[in-house]
Amino acid sequence: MAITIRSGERRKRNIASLVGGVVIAVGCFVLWLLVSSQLTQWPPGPGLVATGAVVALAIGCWIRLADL
Amino acid sequence: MMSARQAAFRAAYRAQIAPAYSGLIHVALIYLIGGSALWYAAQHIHAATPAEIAVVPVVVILANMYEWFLHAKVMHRPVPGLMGIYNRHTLAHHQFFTQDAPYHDTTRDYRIVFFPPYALIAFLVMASAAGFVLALLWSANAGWFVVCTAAGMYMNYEFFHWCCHVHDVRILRHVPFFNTIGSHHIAHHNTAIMMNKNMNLTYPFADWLFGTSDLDRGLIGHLFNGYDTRFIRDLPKLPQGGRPGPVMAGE
Repeated sequence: MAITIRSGERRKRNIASLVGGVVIAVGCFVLWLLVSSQLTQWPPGPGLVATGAVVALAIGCWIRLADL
Repeated sequence: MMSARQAAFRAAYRAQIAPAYSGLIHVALIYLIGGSALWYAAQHIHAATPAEIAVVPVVVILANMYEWFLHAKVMHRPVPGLMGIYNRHTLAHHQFFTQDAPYHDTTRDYRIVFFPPYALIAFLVMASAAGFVLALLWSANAGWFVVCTAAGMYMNYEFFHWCCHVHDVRILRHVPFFNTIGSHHIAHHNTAIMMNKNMNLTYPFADWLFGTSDLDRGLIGHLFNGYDTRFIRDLPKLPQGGRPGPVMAGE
């Protein structure tokens, strides 16, 4: 089986990390809403929703930056 | 002993891991998402009947077969549309980890040990859809059990796979299930058999069921085989008789 060794130059970020970043941001936001509503009440307050959006966005951005 | 070829691949791979990557954040995300999903689903289970609880072992078996199928038919086969998974696994993971040097060195190596966290999101969406259908057809408790068990099995998978690639197995080699899957999976990293043998990453049930194990023994023997080499099938392509013993730190 052939070895695949990339050249030493800095690699471009993969499209998968862009799609994955969006997917995980949406998924984390939904999960945040579900868990926070379970811990408090439905619908969760605007503070919790805003915090969830920030956390989800941060995770999505990290996935992209980390090229995961 | 690591070959020069493997060492070169590792160096090249590590050089291209993004600076922003953190193995600990990667793992924390997987277990926070998986743990949250499991907890949320468990909160909705009330007064479960024995029949509803029986969903758990059924899902464990189905998840085991799904793990086998995904590994054998997607991760090791160049399927159009899913080539990224094949490249990441067969062409990268299997060159980074070989039977002779199957361990990771730093937490940055977690990038090639664990799935990306969005794979867990996709898995949870599929499990939730299945749970929803089961809830509609039969019982809400059963549907929530599906989500709980699927989330648990995913985290089980990641943890066991990580254990397979740890450097020091002085403790794990004596722990049932861990030692079995450690031996089973490192044998899978032998390039002679990696495309069609030892596809399970948690418990070698599906490998036993579908005849894709390198062992010739029954189900219970498979599950508790550990590092026992007496039952290895006669696979002519296997160098030096097949499975290695546990790889110890510093070897």
